[in-house]
Amino acid sequence: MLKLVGAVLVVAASGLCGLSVAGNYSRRPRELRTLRSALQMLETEVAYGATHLPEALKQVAGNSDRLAGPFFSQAAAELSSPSGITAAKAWENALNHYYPGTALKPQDLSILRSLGSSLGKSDRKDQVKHLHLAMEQIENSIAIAEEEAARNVKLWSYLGFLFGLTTVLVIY
Amino acid sequence: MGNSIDLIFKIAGVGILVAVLSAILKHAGKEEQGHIVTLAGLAIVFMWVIQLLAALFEQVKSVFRLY
Repeated sequence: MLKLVGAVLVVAASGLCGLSVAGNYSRRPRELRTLRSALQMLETEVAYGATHLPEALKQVAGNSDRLAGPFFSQAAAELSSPSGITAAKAWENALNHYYPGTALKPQDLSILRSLGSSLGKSDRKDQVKHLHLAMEQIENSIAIAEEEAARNVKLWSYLGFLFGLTTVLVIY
Repeated sequence: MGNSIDLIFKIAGVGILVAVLSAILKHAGKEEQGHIVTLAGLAIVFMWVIQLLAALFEQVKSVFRLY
C-alpha cells in the first residue's frame, strides 16, 4: 500500500515537473506578444501624444493585460517617485522586479534593457527609432519562440510522466 | 517462480515505455536522445537479466560437475 502511494507520488511529481517546463515554453510567445503590443502603445504615446514618460508608462500599464501591466505600472511608479531616478534606472529596476516571474529568456531581457538605456534621453524621433528596433527584435524572438513551443510543449508534457513511470518501474 | 514472472512483466513495461519515449523524441526531432533512451533501457534490462544468467551458468556448472 505504502509502495503504491510512493509510486503515485513519484509519477505525479515528475509529471508536474514536465508540465511546468512545457508551460514555460508555451508562455514565452504570449508574453513576448503582449510586450510588443505594449511597446506599440508606448510608441503611440511618445510619437503622437507627446506624453510625459511617467504618464505614458501609466497609460500603457492601464491598457495592457496582466502579463505586461505590472511591469509598466512599476516603471511609472519608480519614475514618478520622489527619489528622482532617471528613466533608464526606473526601467531597469522594474525589469529586475518583473523578469524572475516570467518565462522570458536572457536575450529577451537584453532587448528590453538596451531599450531602457535610451528611454527618455533624447528627442521624440530618436526614441521612436529605438522603440521600433526593440519591436523588430521582439518580433524575431516571437517567431523563434513559437517554433520552439511547437516542438517542445508536447514533448515535455509527455516526457515528465514517462520518466516518472520508468523510475517507478525500475525501483519497484 | 513468481519472482521471475514479475521480472518478465517489469521488462515488458520498460520495453513499452522505451518504445513510446523514443517515438516521441523522434517526433520532436531529437533522434540522438531517442537512441540514448533506447540504449539506457537496454542497459537497465541487462542489469536485471545478467543476474539470472549468472544463476543459470552456476546451475549448469553444478549439474555437469565442472568445478
